[in-house]
Formats: sequence, C-alpha cells, structure tokens
Amino acid sequence: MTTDRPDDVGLRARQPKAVRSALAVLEEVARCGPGVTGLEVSRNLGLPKATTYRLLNLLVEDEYLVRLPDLSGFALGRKVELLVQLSGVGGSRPGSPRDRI
Amino acid sequence: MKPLQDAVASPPRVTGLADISPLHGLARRSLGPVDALAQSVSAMAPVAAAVTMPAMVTAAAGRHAVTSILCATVLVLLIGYTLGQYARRMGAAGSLYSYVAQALGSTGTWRPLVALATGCSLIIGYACIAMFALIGFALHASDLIASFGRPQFADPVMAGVILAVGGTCTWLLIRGLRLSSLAMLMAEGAALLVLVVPIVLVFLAVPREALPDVDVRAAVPDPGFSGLATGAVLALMAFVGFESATVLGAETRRPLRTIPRVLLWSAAGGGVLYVVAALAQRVLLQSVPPLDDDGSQVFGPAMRAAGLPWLVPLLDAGAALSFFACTLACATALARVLLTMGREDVLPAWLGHAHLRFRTPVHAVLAAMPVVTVVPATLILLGLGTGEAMNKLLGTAATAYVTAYLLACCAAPVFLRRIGELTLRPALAAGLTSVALAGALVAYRITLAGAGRSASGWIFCILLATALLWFLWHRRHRSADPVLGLYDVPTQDAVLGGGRNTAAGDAP
Repeated sequence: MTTDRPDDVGLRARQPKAVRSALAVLEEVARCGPGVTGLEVSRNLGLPKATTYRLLNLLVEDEYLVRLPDLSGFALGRKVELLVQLSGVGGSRPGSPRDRI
Repeated sequence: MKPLQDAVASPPRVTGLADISPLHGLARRSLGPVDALAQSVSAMAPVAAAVTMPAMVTAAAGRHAVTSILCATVLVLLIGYTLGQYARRMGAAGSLYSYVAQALGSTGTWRPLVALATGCSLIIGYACIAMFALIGFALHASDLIASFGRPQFADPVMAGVILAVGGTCTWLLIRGLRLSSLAMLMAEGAALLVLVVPIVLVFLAVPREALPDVDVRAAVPDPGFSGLATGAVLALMAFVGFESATVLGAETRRPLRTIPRVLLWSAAGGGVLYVVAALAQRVLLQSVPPLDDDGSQVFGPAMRAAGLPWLVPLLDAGAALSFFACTLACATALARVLLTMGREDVLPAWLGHAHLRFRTPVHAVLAAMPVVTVVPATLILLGLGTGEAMNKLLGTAATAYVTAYLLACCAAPVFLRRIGELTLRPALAAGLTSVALAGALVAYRITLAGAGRSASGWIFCILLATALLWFLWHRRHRSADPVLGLYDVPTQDAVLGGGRNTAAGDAP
C-alpha cells in the first residue's frame, strides 16, 4: 500500500496508519463481495483481529459499510459511492451525486 | 481504490435484505446525539438522585462516600462499555431485551426465557421508575406550593396532580418523538441548571477550611471495606436508567456511532454530578447537626440553617422538573420495549402499531400510561404515603434494572462469539462487570433486607415469574414460536447499489 499507483487517490505515506488500514479494510470488503466476515478480512489482510473488528465497526458506524442481518457479514454501504466520487475517480452517474447519504 | 471503483461501477447484488425496516412506522433517523443523551440522563432522574443519594451513601460508607461513588461510576462505565458492544453493532428499540435475544437466539426453551426475563425486567424497571417519578413530581410540587404559604397537597390533590401529569406525558409521547424529546431536554436541562446554583453557592459561600476529612454522619465508626462496598451499591442505583438511550436505536441518526458514546457520556456525567453533590453536601453539613432520619431531606434543612432559605423552593422546582423529564424518558423506553415485543408477536400485535402521522408507538403508550398513572394515584388515595410508595417502587425498579444489566453483560461474550467477533478486552470487561453486578444485586437485597425492606424484592420476583409463566403457557397454544431479537436491520437502500428511490423519512 506504499507505492502510488496511477489510480491511487492521493494518499501519501504521511497519512495516519489507521486511516490507511481502514481504507484497506474497505477495499477488502469490496474485493471479497457482500457477506465477508470480520475474521476473513483479518486473515486476508494479515491485520490483528481486534484491530480489524474495530475498523469494521468504525466503518459501519459511519455507514461506509453495512452489517448484514446475521450481524457477522458485511457489505458496502451507499456512502462508498460518495467516497469514490469525492476522490475524483470512477466518474459520476447522471442524477446520483446529490443523493442524500 | 480500484476495488471500490469497480464496486461502485457495477454494484454486487446483496441478498437477504428487505425493502423496509422491521421498525418502520417509527420516526427513524430523526434524533441527534443531544436528544439521545437527554433520554439517558433524564431516565436517571439525576437531580433527585444528586440530592438524596449522597446522604444514603454517607450513612453506609462514612468518609469513604466519595470513593464509593467513584467505584460505582467505574462499574457503570464498564456496563456502558459492555452494552456498547451491542449498541455499536445493532440499532434496536427493545434495548437490552433485543440484545440478549440476538445473543442467545430464539431456539429451545431457556434461551428465549432468558431474553424475556431481560425484557420483563426492563418493563418492570421503566414502569416503576415512571410511577416513582410521578409521585416525586407531585411531592415536590406540593412542597413548592407549601413554601409560598399554601398548605401541602391533600391526598386527593396529589392523586389529581399525578393524573394530570400522566395525561400530559401521554399526549406528548403520542404527539411526536421530537416534541417529547424537546420537552425532556428542556425540563432536565432547566433542572440541572437549578441544581448547579446551590452547589456553586455552597462552594463559594463556605470558607475553604470547612472541608475537613470528617465522618459527618458518624453512623458507622469505621466503615471499612464492607461499608465502602455497600455505599458503592447504593450509589449504583442512582445511575440506573442511563442505558435507556438504547431504545432509540431506530430513531437516532447514526445510532451505531451515537448510542455507545451516549452510554459512556451519561455514566461519566452522572459520576461527576454525584461526586460534586456529595462534596457539596459534606461542606454543607458542617453547619448543621446530623439529622437522625435517613437523611433524604438533608439538603433542605441544611440550606435553611446555612441562611439560604430561598434555595429550598428552587431545588423543589428543579426536582419536580427532573421528575417530569424522568417520567417522559421512562415511558418513552417502556413504550418501545412493548412495541418490539408486539412486533415479534410475543405480546399482542396491536402493541406494535405506530401512529401513521406522528410516527410514535401510540398503542404501547396508550396501554402503558394508564397503568403508570393510575397505580401511584391509587396508592396515594389508599393512604400508603409518598415515602413508602416511592421506596417500594425504587427498590423494585433498581432490582429489575440490575437484573437486566446482569443478563445483558453475561450474554455479551456469547453475542460476540456468535457473530465471530469475540476478542479479549470486551470479554474481560463483560466478565468483570457480570461478577460485580451479581455481587451488587445480592448486596443490595441484603442491605434492604437489613432495613426491613424486602417487599420490593418479592414484588419483582412475583412479577417476573408471572410474566415468564404466562409466556411459557402461551407458547403451548401457538403454532410457531416467535422469533425474538427484532432490531433495525439495514434495508436494501442502505447498501451500495440498493434501491434508488428513498423516501425522505426513511433515508438510511
């Protein structure tokens, strides 16, 4: 996560580690698809379990992630759309950017 | 960002989510953190507790009174942290009942029974404190009027005041959550301001050297550890109700973020208030000889003796406002637990209906408020006496609350394990808290029994046993067992790529 790739949104090495870990968690949920559990995310990223659960909870609290009804699986929340649009990549669809988040 | 961009460009389909929330019809996502905090703080009746609790704690713990209160605060913070493990993962209207139900599941016999025991304990606790607060309001209104030269209220007038206030609260609770929340916030805010004035005056008006480390009550020569522990248990009872913001899980904006914070803030705020009140009382009592009653009115005579008689009606007004807010808060919580049970079909389904326009749990309010109003009015008319009635109600409620906390804290590690997120720190906190709560419950009942006040324990046990037996009997006549643990499950429009058309009132 330290090299800048062409589609990187400009996070540099000076960002606090937690923010980068949080984004890594968010990306991992995106990569694995809906229903991925905290344990799976922790294993895939090699992060400690407690850290992963804490980050997942933070992302759920701020509604970037949604907990599925079984309370153990996660899915991306609608707010991710806003995040991607604000980053200036991914493009916007007609009529969608002003959705109330 | 590439996986995120891909997900936004072609969102995956998420199955298993419904189009509407199980808690539809309520004013979802309408309250902010201040309203949630007002709910938790009001349910604690902090002004009344700040005025009466320090004296009781001092009677048990002597010079360790402040330490006792600090110990109780730490325990309440731990309870808040443990309850926060649920609150940050699920927004519910059934509070600890829904939490325990989710932790244990609904299969078998004893699992739903434990969840129902939690729910019934909450119902008993909220109902009894609401009744307690109505009597308290009438009492302090009577004292307030009496300080202007009028006679104290006669029993029928007290009953009438209780009915009038109960009716007002009913109207507010039906008319809208924002309205009742605002009323609660303003009443409790004013009450706390009113309390701050005498406390500040006490500290300013009394010279510094009047703060010695004196055993002001001298009731316990050397309180020792058992005195400190008893004092801590009594202080704990001043915090009950702090968890009630958990019933607003569907109606708070960003509940998973706000409610855990409100739990900790109300615990810490209560602790600060009670420590300051205890210190102020200690200063004040230097100028007054010790009273030989249970000390519950110590502020009044002490202030008259200190030459500040006009503070007494001010404090009465503050206490009355605080009790009014407390009635609203407890009734708000009670109605939502009943609504949850109604929607789960544990209780009759009509209890689960919400008002179409006002979006409040109208049927639950109309079912609960008459009981909450008529019972204390009747007790007063029967000549029971306000002190006696309030003692019984408080004892029953405190026992009920601590039972609910105990069950919820014991179930917390089970919950975390069930969802695959069990880690060391929350497990340790839950374990420690459960042990402390079990000890506190036993110590509380022993303390009350020592003072000849076991009746409230029996009342609680009989009510709980009746409720559980009724549920077991009712189950045999059902076709399907009810599924417990209803909460504000996210809907399709909360996920990326879910429904595009969100109604303004139900936006995620």
